[in-house]
Formats: sequence, structure tokens, C-alpha cells
Amino acid sequence: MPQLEEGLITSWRKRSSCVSKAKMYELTYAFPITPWLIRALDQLGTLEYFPEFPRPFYRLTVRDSFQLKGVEGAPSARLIIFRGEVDAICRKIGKYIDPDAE
Amino acid sequence: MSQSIIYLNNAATSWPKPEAVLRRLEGVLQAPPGLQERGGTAKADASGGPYTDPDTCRRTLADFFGAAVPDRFIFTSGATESLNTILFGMIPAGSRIVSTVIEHNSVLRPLRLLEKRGLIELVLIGCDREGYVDKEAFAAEVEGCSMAVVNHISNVTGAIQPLKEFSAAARKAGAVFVVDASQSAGVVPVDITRQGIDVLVFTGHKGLFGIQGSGGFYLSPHLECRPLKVGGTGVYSSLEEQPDEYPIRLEAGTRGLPGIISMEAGIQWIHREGQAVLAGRVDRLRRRALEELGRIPGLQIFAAAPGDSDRKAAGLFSFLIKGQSPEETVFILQESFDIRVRAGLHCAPRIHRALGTWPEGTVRVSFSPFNTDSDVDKLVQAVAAAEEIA
Ligand SMILES: Cc1ncc(COP(=O)(O)O)c(C=O)c1O
Repeated sequence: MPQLEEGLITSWRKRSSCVSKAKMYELTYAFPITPWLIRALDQLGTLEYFPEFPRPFYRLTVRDSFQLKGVEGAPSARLIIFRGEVDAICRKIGKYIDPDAE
Repeated sequence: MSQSIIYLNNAATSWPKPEAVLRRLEGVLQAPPGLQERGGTAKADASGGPYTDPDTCRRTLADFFGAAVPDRFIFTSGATESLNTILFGMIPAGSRIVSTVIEHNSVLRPLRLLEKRGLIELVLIGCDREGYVDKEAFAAEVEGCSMAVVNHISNVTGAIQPLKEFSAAARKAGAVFVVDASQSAGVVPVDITRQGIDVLVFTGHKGLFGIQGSGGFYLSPHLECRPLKVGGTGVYSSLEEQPDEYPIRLEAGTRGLPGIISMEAGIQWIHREGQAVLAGRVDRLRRRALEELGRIPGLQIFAAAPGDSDRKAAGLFSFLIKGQSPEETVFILQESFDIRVRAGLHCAPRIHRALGTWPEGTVRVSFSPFNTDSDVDKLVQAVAAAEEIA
């Protein structure tokens, strides 16, 4: 599992998908994601956040590039890449979201 | 954690297992290996249950599946190994083989490999939008075939194929009739003699409530099959070639005894509870789910809709939320609602072309008798919530 520099995302792992074309990854966060950090993802693209779900669900879509989704309090999330490299995308997310700034 | 999970992925692997299966497994694993199997002297396993060896289990299987010769039950690691053994070990080169578009990859891939090697000509019969195979086309195409392979229950829509009609057509054509009962064994009655089955393939970890890595097949006494693997059998060890005697001819290596015993314990549990009672419970859940989900506007359901007596359905179906990938629906159900269902092609790629769900597949819901009305209600609530955000 590749390790990234410190930041929100510490590592990623390719997930095998039943549907062959999908590029799907599981990202590991440095700690369980908080509502504050979820809202901060807004800077990257279109964020949808559903706090009324039993475990609040969020979905960030960056057009023509990737989708990131997960639930509040979880230490991981799913990344689906339409275009781009996983390392670059993880670094981009990490650059915008600084966990220490909370 | 596991207590709060609503598990609706029983067509993949059933969960939970009956207490009786868990207790028998514990007994087997605690007993010294020599006492568990052939050659041992114990009369009871460590859990106090009756002593079991694979041959006892063969008799249980013969009784359960209506077969005359227990020694023609071969134990394997599951349906995939069974199908590979049969398809690579029984088909003469130059044969024409008929199968269907509802097959699992454990049938399709070996057959495609044989086709690619130039050893067979393969014909796949289509199905309707509910997963029922075209019987007339099958009857026409089976002529001139040496083998027909049919999946008893679609693992995508739950359609139960009328086996007797298929076996009659295969018999008339002189084709060996192979049934993949992975989804039906333990779930609906399967009777080798009455349904005219020549080779029956089953897996342990679904409707028989056994563990993963267990299963087998039944080979009618008039048929021969070459082994896929050869090796130690524990008997006739002075021979340097694989013995011809069944079942050991096809069972080289140490058998997975815990798996074998888990299947036997599962069958005994099914007998005690009553297969019809268990099936009735699952059918009620399926109907309730389909009725309630049918009220959600943005949902497309892919379910067998039983009509006449030939169109029966098992406790599983698929659906799609318009504007949402199956992957996303399953992610939301799992992560936000703790509901386990499955997304994708379900290892049965060809049926999705008939359903119009290629290439992303569907979301599949599959029940077991351990599910409850409350599980259905929670599923419906979760699907409605996922649909709202599609
Ligand atoms: C119809 C069908 N055939 C074959 C298989 C493969 O079974 P096993 O896991 O025992 O190899 C499955 C299970 O996924 C199935 O649903």
C-alpha cells in the first residue's frame, strides 16, 4: 500500500471492481473524518453532504476528474477516478485539506 | 458490530450459519484429526454429536438430492472446482455443447477456454428479461450436443428454471445433462432421479449453510470423468497411478473435512426446520421487499415474476436506482445504513446483456431464512434515501 506524506490521506489501495473499467481506490485518512473536514472538501469541487443519514454521507465530485465519497467518522473513503493519477489526486486533496487547521 | 449488520448477500455466501452447524464445526476442529475421519475409532465427535466421516455425508447428500449411489458424490472446494473437473474431464474433443446466458463464470470461462482451444463448439441459449431461459430454443439447439449445462436458479434475478423440461430435451438428444445447483441446493427441492439430472453441481457455503471452500458434485453411475488433479488418496498407496474407483478417483489430496461436515450439519438443520418452511419464510420476505420497493418511483427492478407453475422464483432479485451507479447505491447502503447487498455483474456477465444492465450490472438483494420483516423495512428505507439523492 503506497504511503503518502502526512496530510489527510495517509495511503491508498486499489480496490478490485467487478466492473472492469472502473478505477476505484480505498483511501485511508490520518484519522476519522469530521464534519468540519468534510465541509472543507467543498473547495475542491461539488460537495454534497447528507447529515440526516444514520451515518452522514458525503460525496465530492470534481468534474471530469474524480469522485470521493464516504461517511462521517470513518477512517477511510472511496475514490473513483475518471481521469488523472491517484497519487496526484490524493496530493491535491491533501493540499487543500489541512487537518491541523481545524 | 456484526450484530447491527443487515446481511442481504446470501446468494454470495449465507450468513449467519445455524447454531447447529457452528457447534458441529467446533467439535470437528477440537477432535484429533485421526478420530475425525476414516480409520478413526471414535463414535462421537467432541461436541457430543454423532461421529461423521465423508462417507456418512455422502449418504446424507444422496438422500437429500434423491440419488441412488452415495459413492458418486465427489467432494471439492466448491462449485467452481466441480465445474472445472466436469467440463475439462468429460467433454470429448470436437463436441458441440449447449449452455445458457444465465450461467456463472464458473461455467462460462471453462467453456470459453475449451472453445478457444478449438475443442468444442459452444451455443448459449438466451433468456427473457426476468432470467427465464428460452425452453424452445434449448430443445432445438440441444440436438447434436454431447452435453448441456444449465444454471438452476439465476443468481441475478432469482428465476428458477423448470429442470424437468430441459432434462427431457437433453435426454431425447442424448446429451449429458449438467445442472449448476449453486443457488438452489438447500433452497428448493433438487431431485436427481425425478428431475433427470446426470451431473449435479453444488456448493456448500450458500443454501446448504456450510462454510466457504466446500461443495461437490454428483456423477451418475453411467458416466465417467477424468480427474483434474491426481495424488494421495489415503488408500491403494502402493499404486503409482490414480485409482479408478469412485469417489477417490476424483478426490486426490486431503479433503476439507470441516467443510464436508458443515454441509452435512446444514442439511440436517434444513431437515429439522423443514425446507418448505424455510423457503416459505424467504419467499414472504422477497414478496414484501418487491412490493415495498416497487413503490419507489426511480427504481428499476429485475426480478423473476412467477406466473404459471413453470415460472418460479427464489429469494433474490436485482434493482437499479435511476441516475445512480450500482456501486454507489451499495456504498451508501453499506456505509450509511449497515446493509450488505452486492453490486456489479455477480460473475454472470452474459445475462446483463439480456436485462439491459451491461456493463455496470445491478444491485442484488438476496435473503436467507434468518432475515426478518424489519430487515426488509430497513432496506426499503435505505433504498428510498439513496434514491432521493441520485
Ligand atoms: C450460479 C453459481 N454458480 C457457481 C458459483 C460458484 O460457486 P463456488 O463459490 O462454490 O465456486 C456461484 C457462486 O457464486 C453461483 O452463484
